[in-house]
Amino acid sequence: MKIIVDRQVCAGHALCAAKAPDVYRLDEEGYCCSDGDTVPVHLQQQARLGARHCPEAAIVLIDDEDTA
Amino acid sequence: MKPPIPAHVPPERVVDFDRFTSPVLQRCPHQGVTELFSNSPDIFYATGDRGHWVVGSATVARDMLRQPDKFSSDPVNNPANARKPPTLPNQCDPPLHTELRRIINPFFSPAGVQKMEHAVRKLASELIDEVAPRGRCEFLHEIAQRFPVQLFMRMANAPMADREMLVAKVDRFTRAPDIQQRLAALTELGNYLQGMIAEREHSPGDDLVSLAIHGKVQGRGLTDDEKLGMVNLLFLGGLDTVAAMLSFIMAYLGQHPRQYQRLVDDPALIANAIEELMRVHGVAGMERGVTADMEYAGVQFKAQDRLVFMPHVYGLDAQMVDDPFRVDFDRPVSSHLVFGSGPHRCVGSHLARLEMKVFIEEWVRRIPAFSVDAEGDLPTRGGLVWSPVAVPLAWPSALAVAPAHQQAAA
Repeated sequence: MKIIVDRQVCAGHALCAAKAPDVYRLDEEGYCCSDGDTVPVHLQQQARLGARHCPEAAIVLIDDEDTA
Repeated sequence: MKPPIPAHVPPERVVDFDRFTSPVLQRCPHQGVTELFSNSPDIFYATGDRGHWVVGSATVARDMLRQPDKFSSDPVNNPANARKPPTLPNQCDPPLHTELRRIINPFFSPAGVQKMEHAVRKLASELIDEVAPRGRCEFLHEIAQRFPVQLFMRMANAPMADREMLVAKVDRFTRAPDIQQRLAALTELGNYLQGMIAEREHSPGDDLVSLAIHGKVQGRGLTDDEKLGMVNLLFLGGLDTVAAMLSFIMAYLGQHPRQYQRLVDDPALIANAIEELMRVHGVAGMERGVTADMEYAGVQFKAQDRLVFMPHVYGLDAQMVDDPFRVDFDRPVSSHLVFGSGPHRCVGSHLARLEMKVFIEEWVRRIPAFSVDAEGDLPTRGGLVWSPVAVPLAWPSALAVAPAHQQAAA
């Protein structure tokens, strides 16, 4: 699973990292900087929870064959 | 005198409700307004406060708040809520909004507020130590209107002696039923803050006001109106909301000793408990204006129609939360829109959470049991931000523990 973050849309609410601290990283200003990160299998549920809480729907998770 | 209902509003959607003065707001407003909403259309037209739409359904509200192109924060689309100058960044839309918000975001990001934890804990400890031996306090005025307010005043580097005067102005802006009085309070606040802005322009510090007024948007510095609009909103948000929320939460814990005991026994539960207690005690609302004639969710809107959102009770909407009136500290997710949704979601949410969590951590360490010292339900006040009128608390002072200060600061 791969994380795609639309950095133009991210408004720094930081809910992704609050709900899924092991998955999403924030930059110093509180904006998500996990664009392109790969999510290991055991964290995928957490990753989905974090993405679902984004008020901007800026996070898309792509299931790929390597890490699905 | 109430203005006439606009011709495009169908009679079956008209509800007699005034968000400042309706009797339902004067005791247990969360319960009363939730009942009112569940007996009304998802979107209805309230007759009070000069007439406006109210979005009563949480899921509909969440969808609307994420569409700023249709439901705008710019007073151009909502003239009834125009302010001079507009408060910012809440009274503008993306893309300007995105840039204005970026100026203040570092201060309020999770990493930014983490730096404040020590100061938050120290002040919470001091305030509780002051009242603990007494065995009683009136929580709203003696603690809630000091704790988050003093922290904010320190962030803004504002003179502490002006605290009560500023709190009174914000209170009038938030709760005066007459719009002229609200706008007058905002003007007074602005006149006061102009002085502070002028001073920080010449000798900036590392405080929040200096940060806000020296920001840049679209490659330029802020205009005078933008500076005032930003600083006005920081004070409106910083001086009232956490005080009201924490007062509701402490009243609840005083009325539910078994729930409180769980937090005393296991302080690790406090963070989750706060999320759940916020869900059922929303305090603040917001407005939007409709950008063009359109149909949405079965309602025919006209451009410049005024929409009021009430996250005060969205966490109690049975369509969003199962068994919403059951307060359960073990819920995996406490869904609520207490901080709003979409681009304008509250910038201070991480600070608010930190303040309330730290405060309750320090309270449970000193006061192992307490109750609300009043008969029946506590009187409350409606308005833009709901609040109890007073929260008298009492505890056996012999039980109060005074932890060593170095321990409190650890």
